[in-house]
Amino acid sequence: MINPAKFQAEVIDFGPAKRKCPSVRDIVLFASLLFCFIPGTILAAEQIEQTEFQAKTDWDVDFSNGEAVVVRDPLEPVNRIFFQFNDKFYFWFLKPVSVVYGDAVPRDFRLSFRNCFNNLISPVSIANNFFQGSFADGSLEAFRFLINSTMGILGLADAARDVFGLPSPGREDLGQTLGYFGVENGFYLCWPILGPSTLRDTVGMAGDAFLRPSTYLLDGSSAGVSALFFTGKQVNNTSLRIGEYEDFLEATFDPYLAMRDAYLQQRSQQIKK
Amino acid sequence: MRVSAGRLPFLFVTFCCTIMFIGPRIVDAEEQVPLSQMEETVNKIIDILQEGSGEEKWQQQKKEIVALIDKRLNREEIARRALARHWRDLNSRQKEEFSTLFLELLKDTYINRLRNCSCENEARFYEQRKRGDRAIVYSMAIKDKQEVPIDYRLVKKDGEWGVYDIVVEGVSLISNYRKQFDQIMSRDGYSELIKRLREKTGN
Repeated sequence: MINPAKFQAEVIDFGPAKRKCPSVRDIVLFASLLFCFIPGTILAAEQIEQTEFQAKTDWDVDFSNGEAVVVRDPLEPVNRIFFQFNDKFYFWFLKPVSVVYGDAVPRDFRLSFRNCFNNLISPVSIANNFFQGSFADGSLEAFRFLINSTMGILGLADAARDVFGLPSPGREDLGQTLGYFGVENGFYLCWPILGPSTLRDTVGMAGDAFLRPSTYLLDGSSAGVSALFFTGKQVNNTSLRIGEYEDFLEATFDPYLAMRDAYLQQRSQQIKK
Repeated sequence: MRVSAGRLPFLFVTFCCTIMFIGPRIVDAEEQVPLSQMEETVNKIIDILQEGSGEEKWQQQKKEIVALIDKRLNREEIARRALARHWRDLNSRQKEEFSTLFLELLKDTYINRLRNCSCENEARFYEQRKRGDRAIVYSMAIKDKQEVPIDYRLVKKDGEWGVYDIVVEGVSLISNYRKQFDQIMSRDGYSELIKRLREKTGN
């Protein structure tokens, strides 16, 4: 039980306001109070700073652009080996061949070939636009495919863009369609030659093969012809982008990590669109 | 000047018209500020790049471009965002050291990339979104007739808009660096980060 008399006496005893000079006890009391508060204040300030940063990042997410995309990478050791393989493949094979090819074939021709290869995969984009319910974009892609395959002479010229002023509304693939319907990435994968992907996007890539005209055009032809087609496409398109991978390596500290993050950010953005 | 009472309505109407026509324009100009500034800077850079080639000329061009870029960047915000949670652990000298090196790396990267793709460059600035002291300016760079979306994220500090991130084809540059820096800082600490930044920038 608390003795009221004693309690009151103690309160009076502690009353510092009545004294003109602070006693040692008051100073100790004040100091201990201060020590109680300071760490609290610092912590609170830190917390505010953190929340502030968090809030700003949220604003960014709100304003799009796949920040905070986190995808598991359980196969990282294997992926890193394949990444190294692709790096060597680029420097030892793809780049030298593309440079020689680029010297031999004028730039305008190479741009036309790229148009042609892009046009050939249009059915993938048309179908996936429809799968996602983007009928306007799907129809536009279909119209572009029709115009470019005929007026554009097998897609060598982008007549839809240059004559009709109808640029592509953006390419769609099955990986994006799956993402659109809420299928998660699963985990990250780095394929030899094909490069960065995820489990979902790999499934998408396999599915898209059924929509690619090249699958049917090359059906029945030998593996050599298919390889030649694929290599031709890679070499042609690489010849127009020489230096980009080198710049990327220059600018990054861990190219594997940077590539993975860039791929995941880009895909997340494509799906949001 | 003496104004007769009969002319007052006329003057009043003129005054109102002036306000109506010029007023919104002034406001518009102010409203469009981050976009118009970015457009001006990027177009100036494109002009500089088209002036000519050659190593000597390039060094001169590089200087001019760096001066232009410096005006448009928010140095502290870039550095702070790139390090995120590790930023608070640094003292002011370390913050300054990191900012200087990282900005140098960014400028080197950006300028070298410009040099490598200087063929028929064009940029279209078409939209901006503002919320308080933050803004995003949307642009489309045209390279080999293909469109590359480039978004600039800006923050207003002391009345000046400054870029703190560039998003190319949906990839945020600062966010990409943040992941790499986080790994280095968590694994090897600040001194290793600075060592590697120095290696990259040749300092």
